[in-house]
Amino acid sequence: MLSCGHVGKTYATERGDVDAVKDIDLDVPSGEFAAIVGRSGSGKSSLMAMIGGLSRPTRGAVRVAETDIWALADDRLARFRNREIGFVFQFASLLPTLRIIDNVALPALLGRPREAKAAYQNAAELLGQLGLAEYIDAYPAEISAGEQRRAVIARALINAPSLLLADEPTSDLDEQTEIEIMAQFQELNRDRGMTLIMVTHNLRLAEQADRVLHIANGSLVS
Amino acid sequence: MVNADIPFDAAAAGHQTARAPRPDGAGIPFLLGSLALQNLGRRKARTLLLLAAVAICSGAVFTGVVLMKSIENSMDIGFTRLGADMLIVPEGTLANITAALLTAEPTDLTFDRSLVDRLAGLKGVRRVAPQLIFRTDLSGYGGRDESVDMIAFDPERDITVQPWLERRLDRPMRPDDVIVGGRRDEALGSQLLLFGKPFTVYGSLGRTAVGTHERGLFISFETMDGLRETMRQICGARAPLEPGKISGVLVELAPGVTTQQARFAVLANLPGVKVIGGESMLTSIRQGLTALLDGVLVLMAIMFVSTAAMVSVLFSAIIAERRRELGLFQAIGAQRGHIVGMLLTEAVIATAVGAVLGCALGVLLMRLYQHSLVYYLQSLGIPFVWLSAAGTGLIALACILLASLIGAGGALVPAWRASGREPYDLIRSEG
Repeated sequence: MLSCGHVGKTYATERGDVDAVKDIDLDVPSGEFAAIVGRSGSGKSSLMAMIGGLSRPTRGAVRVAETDIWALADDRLARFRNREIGFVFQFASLLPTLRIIDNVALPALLGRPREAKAAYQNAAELLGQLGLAEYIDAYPAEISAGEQRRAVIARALINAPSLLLADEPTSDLDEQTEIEIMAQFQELNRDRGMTLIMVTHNLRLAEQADRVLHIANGSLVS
Repeated sequence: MVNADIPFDAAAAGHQTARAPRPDGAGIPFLLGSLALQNLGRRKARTLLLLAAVAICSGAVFTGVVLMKSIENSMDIGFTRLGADMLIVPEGTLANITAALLTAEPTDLTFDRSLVDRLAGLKGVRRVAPQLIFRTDLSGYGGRDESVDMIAFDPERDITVQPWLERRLDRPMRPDDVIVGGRRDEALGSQLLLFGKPFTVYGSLGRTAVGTHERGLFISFETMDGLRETMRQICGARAPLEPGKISGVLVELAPGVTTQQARFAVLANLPGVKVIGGESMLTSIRQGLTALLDGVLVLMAIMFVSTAAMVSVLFSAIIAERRRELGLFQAIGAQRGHIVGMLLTEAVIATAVGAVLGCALGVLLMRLYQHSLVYYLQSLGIPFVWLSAAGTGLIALACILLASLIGAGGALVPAWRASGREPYDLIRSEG
């Protein structure tokens, strides 16, 4: 499903070049739930950004579903992300001026603008499955942080992606909500066979994954 | 369990119909438009500032263009539409610019009608149109002592009256017909009495903003000749009522002939006349006006450029503030066109609304002009004819379109630059 070959990222700073990610080789087979664990600044988010087609590697290649994503032109890469990759970010990533259902339907609308009705039907269904049916017409500010995070998961799933990337998905949530979110990830992985890569600094969460990868100073250490 | 692949079942999903979304689903253009509107609404103070700046700029441009076009229009009426390049009047006639712009001033000074043919025979003269203007308050028309300008003209040679006919009876003009000025409200075909004689209202002129023309009663020389004796009995032996007399001749020059050349020819061949018009007066007015118009246009161009710069700076700030949102938007699949389109839509909405407000303000401002400056000018007899409603509407539309284009142009560079950045770069750079 995912293959990274010698992937590296170097940022140019005023104090010289900084290697955030150093030539990482990584393979994640289809259906695996992998967790990447590391301290702040270890390079885990940069690695995830390169895997997700959000940040171009300085070197190396990333293949997702047999596609060399960084060989794609910008608009094709955007379409690939839209179709194949779902994102759950650590920040409140819902557009505040759109209703929950609009937020969830948005990736489907961007990918298939002529199928608006189906997009909204799917969005309503997903929100129902995630226990947010009563909030479909609400705005993000009207629901709790946990509910917002579930809405973000619904948005990540709307196009039925083959890869779900979660960057600190429970970073600012209470323990109970954290458990619920992790349960949903495991359910997606177990019941749908969805490939899931989660970046976290929380070892306890990471241990719920099939495989835990440790990253330090830009390199995988185990 | 979460399953995005199974068919939708609202009941199974616990879909609350009480707060149901639009069932037909909002398409991406609607959502992007909606996002643009809501983003403008999020920063009310800034949006209002932008609207105000665009409104002031567009309003100034709109008002300026309409005023300048109206002035041009008024000048056209004076110089072109009335068809006369020069006005020949008896020496000693008091002439002012208003009279020169339009027609002979009501005066008892006259010259002989035979002069018309001599004038027509001069080299460089294309057409001549004699007129006799007789001002009286004894015509019996319009109530006791109402002052009326009766203007006799030659329908065959006329270049200044009939071009202004706005409405007329569907037949040729007859000797017992009268044409009424633009401010007279007699119905076509109705009868009015002049010196006790009934006349049929044959036609009505458009508004020219010149009192003599707008409130005048126009009859043919033939009709005037038939009425002359009655008029002499009532008004006494005034010079314009003597047979074969006229008040002035409007002259249209042949192409390529300057008014200066014609002036020399007239004065050399026809003693005792005065030539009004020509380059010394009319051209200087026109040239002065053109320079003023050019200056106003340059000022307007500067205003629009500064508006574009302001929009660009403002949208750079707006985009910097929303980097994370844009990055997220890209992350979920938005292409460059979506991002640029959304930001340009925002700019176009803001500038177009600002321009609409500006044009509305401009209309109010022009109403103010109408009740002050224009009223004052017209009270002095200086013609001022507003641009037509259709013309004004077109200028307003052009201002709105131009403002929208400037909004789009101003936002294009920051939007294009932002859309070209990597999503992760945008997401993590929000400060």
